[in-house]
Amino acid sequence: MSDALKIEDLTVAVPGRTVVDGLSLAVAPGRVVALVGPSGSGKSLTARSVLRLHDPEHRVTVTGRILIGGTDVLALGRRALREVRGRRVGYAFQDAAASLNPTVTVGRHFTETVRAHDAGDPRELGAAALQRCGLEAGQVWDARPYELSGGQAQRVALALATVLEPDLLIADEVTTALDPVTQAEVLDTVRAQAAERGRAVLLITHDLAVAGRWADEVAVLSGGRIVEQGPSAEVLAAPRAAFTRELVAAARLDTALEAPAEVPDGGPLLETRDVRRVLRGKGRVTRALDGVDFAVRPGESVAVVGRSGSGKSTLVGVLAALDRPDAGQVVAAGRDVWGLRDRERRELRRGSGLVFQDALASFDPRYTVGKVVAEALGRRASKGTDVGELLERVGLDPAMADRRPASLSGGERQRVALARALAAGPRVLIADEPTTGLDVLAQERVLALLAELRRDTGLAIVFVTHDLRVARRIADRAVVLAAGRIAEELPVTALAGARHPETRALLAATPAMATGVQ
Amino acid sequence: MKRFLVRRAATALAVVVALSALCFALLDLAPGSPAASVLEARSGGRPPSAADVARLEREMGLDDPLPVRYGRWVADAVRGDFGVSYGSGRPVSEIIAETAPWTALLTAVAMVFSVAGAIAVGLAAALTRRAWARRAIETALFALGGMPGFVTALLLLWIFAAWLQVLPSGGLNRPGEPITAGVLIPHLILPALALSFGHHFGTYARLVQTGVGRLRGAPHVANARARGLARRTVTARHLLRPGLVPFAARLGVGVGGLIAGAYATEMIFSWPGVGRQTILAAQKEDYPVLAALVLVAGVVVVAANLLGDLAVAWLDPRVRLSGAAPGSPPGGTPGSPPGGGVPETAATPSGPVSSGKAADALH
Amino acid sequence: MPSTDRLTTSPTTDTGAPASGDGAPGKTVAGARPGFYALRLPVRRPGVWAVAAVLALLALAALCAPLLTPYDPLATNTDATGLPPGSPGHPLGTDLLGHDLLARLLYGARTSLLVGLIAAVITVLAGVLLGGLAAAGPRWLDGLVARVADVLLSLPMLIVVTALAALLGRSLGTVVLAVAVTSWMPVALVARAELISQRERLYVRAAHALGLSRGQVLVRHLLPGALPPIASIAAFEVGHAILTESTLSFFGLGIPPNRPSWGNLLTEAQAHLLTGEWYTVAFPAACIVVTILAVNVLASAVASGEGRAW
Repeated sequence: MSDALKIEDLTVAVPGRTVVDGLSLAVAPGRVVALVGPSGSGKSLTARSVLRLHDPEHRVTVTGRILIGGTDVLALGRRALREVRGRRVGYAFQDAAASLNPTVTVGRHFTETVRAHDAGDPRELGAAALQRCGLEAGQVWDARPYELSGGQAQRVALALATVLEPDLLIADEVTTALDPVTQAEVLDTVRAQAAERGRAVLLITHDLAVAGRWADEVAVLSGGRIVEQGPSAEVLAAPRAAFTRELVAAARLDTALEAPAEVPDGGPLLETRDVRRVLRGKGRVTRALDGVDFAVRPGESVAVVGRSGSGKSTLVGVLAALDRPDAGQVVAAGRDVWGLRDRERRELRRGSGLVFQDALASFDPRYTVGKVVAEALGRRASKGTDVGELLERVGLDPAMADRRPASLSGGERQRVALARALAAGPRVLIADEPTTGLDVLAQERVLALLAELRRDTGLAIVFVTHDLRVARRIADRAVVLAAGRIAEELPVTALAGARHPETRALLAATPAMATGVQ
Repeated sequence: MKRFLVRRAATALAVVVALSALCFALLDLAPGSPAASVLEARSGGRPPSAADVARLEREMGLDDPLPVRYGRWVADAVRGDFGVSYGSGRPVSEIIAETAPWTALLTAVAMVFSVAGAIAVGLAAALTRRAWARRAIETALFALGGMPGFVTALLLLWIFAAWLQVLPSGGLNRPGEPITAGVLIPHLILPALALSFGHHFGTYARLVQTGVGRLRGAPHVANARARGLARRTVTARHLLRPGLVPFAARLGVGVGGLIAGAYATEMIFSWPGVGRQTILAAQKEDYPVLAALVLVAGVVVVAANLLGDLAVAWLDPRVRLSGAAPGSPPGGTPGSPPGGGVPETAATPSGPVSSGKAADALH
Repeated sequence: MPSTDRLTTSPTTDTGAPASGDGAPGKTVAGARPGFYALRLPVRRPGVWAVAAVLALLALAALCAPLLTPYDPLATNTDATGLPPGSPGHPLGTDLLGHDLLARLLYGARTSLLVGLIAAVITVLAGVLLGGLAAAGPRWLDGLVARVADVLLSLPMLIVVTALAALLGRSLGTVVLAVAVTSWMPVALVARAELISQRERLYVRAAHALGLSRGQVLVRHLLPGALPPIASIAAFEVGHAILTESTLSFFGLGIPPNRPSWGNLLTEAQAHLLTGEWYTVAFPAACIVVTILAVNVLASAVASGEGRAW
């Protein structure tokens, strides 16, 4: 059978730089091929080249051949290209909600697409496409994009991309922003469609584990070239290229990092007792925490696991003594945090370091790296060397102190955040999804650093994540949150045999690298 | 949507009440006795006797308590009775009926100039791929934004009436001369251009430019292209419709700005409209006329604002949820457009609709 | 739910578009660097410096008016009426009453700039105070300020100012009052919105988590963050006040006619536009335009950290 997509010797350049350099790739009908690479490797540029979607403003030049069922897209005229777009190739974008026009209804998106290709009855085709993606047309047809949940929006976007039954679907980081359970559901749908309807799928992702679980073939992209390509099970089990080996090692987050030999004894450093917290948004009230008992003891590492909206981040705010619970107690070092005076509570806050998912936003944009860290040192910031030491401690060059956080990479920013959190010499570190936006390599380095800090200084860690692989790697104990309550609490080694349905759902959704399960 | 409407309408009502109070204060607190002014007007300028004044004051109810006087004034105003001009002795309602159509005509034509021109220029700036062209348009709009409306008017007057002498400088309403289209149109061009350029043209064009410009790379536009939609559909539905929301949001306010701007324009071009009449009344301290014209103009402006808000709610349904005009563009690109001489940074509770209002009303 | 920005930024970078790729971090640093840095930035922007110099020059000329011209701006000289610019002794000429135009322009600058400055200072102080109270104070106060501002913003300002001026009579105080009453709202709303948005930033939360006190957070993070937009709108207010003064005076409702101001000069000169004495209009008009433009350039330079047009 001829390939649905065949890319030959593709070169994509932006002014001053060649991003993709001689890439060749083929996707056969009914197959899912994952194009995997870290940030900046050129995978999205490649995907966009297939439909020539580059913004003219960016002066992207594309050379080579991109064959869709034998037609070279790069040689097509405007009208012919338009017939390929949407009809023969569907494209699903990374940020689904943003990829839909907020001023028109979902139904209108389908109608205009079908009409543009004169393909039949829009409502009928649209409803069928939505159905294939697990949505009822009646629920979403008249809705506007911003009224949908993240998962719904992504399904709508997928349905929209496949409404005309294209031969090829390009899924460009479609699940990056979704929690693992929703991610699994969406990707299962994509796979099922490939199998049932013989559709070729080009899956763009930075997550090797995702590729391993949902793709038939993996092409690993590094520096604008494909360094390795083959059936996903083979590539993951026995990576040949050095870069792939590194990626696989980083993605294989199933073994625990070295824990301290002995965990010091003592009462809990931080404890919540029957804590409840209600969030009042516009017109709706959510019980973010609904009676949570949680404790961290000196030197231990606890993972707080749950999907979006389970109350993880609310728990972080309460643990850090930033947000006052509506009911229940927060006890730090044996004292009720909210029974203290303001000054004492502030002193307590210095006893725990806080790291956020969005490190950049957690720095004052006016501050340099050095100033960020120095502020946390407070009175101890008498000498510049202190800042330098802290930066070295987290594996950064002290010379970075003069840079601005915005000019650093994601991993570096997170290290700066760590340096700041460590400045006051806390006994517990509260990390709120610190590796979620990082690619696997950067994530692995941050995790290793955390393990090292814990080993060397006896730092206790509360690590909030939606990724069970990360939890397994960094923590001794996992606390599974669901709908503001603790669903289950168990040692990470026992996760595989967990009984609670929430834990099982998270587990099932987690791509397992160790076994290379398909 | 209903809540949004109710809130907007309530604000509008509060504005009208505040305005009526101001106008009433104008009448009530003004120096001199209205009765004396009326008598003086009736007798052709002879100072009236104190007894006559006192009698008329009683007749007019000027010694009633304040709430009664205010209530009566409002009731009369609602019925269209604004009293009698101190200056001419004519009913104020007659003066309004005479001047209002002229102002309506002038502002309507200026609005058409503004909207058509701003969309053309704004789109050109947003869609051009030549950086220098965009720069040139931006600079020109910025300069225009810093020109007070009356300076623009004077400049146009000097160029076309004094220097080139191709258009009349004013004096439309000569007694005894019928106003035909041949007379009207040349007289209309300069004031309408001046009003349009002097008030909002720059702001509008900037709004079009930034609104559309920042959507060009938006994911939903890329998506629309990826689905093989015709270029026309992509531009109209996915680029222009969401991109013109901030511009449309300002149109309602723009009417207010144009009416306020008409004051100076009408003075300069001796256009026989409400604005000129208002300034003349203010200069001559003809309070009944002034109060009535201020109230009428204010109510029109408030109504236009309300209509503008409705238009925005229709264009961008998200405002119905939040009750605020859209602060961020669809597509979620951050950053606020720096305005052409108008502070755009105002992230106000009611959004950009009101952010530049104060500045607008004067430019 | 914590922001998903990180999630979206890294793959966006991957689209490799030059604007959002490697250039993005650096651009953020240089472009969107608000705070005190914004106030320092003009150093490398000659255009902004030039504009500031023009303003300084105007102010200096106004201050030193008596040194720069021997004439009394109110004195008429029947021997020298309607002189064109460049006439001996009268570099900008005289009007039909024999007033020396340079003298009137310089003394007019005193009035116009003074009114603009005083009115802007009062406006900004009142606006920041009310906005700060709304942001920091109790909820009802916030609601009250926002409502009142909303209502006032919906009123056509020129109409209100005209009414006020007619009511209070012509004086410098009237103009200042009229400007202040009708233009504190944008300042208050910006100050309020900025303080609130700053308060909700993650870095402010991070600062609290470090154990900083409210005062420290306010001084180190909230105020520096909120300052540039407020400074920017304050600059716009100066231009706005000058504009209002000139408009009111042009209508014959502002500064009394015996005191020259740029607006007054224009009123008097307006009739001469068609009779050939264009310069009586051109100079005051140019002064007004140059001042407002210069102020606007500064304002947008502060607002965006880069000159808009230059």
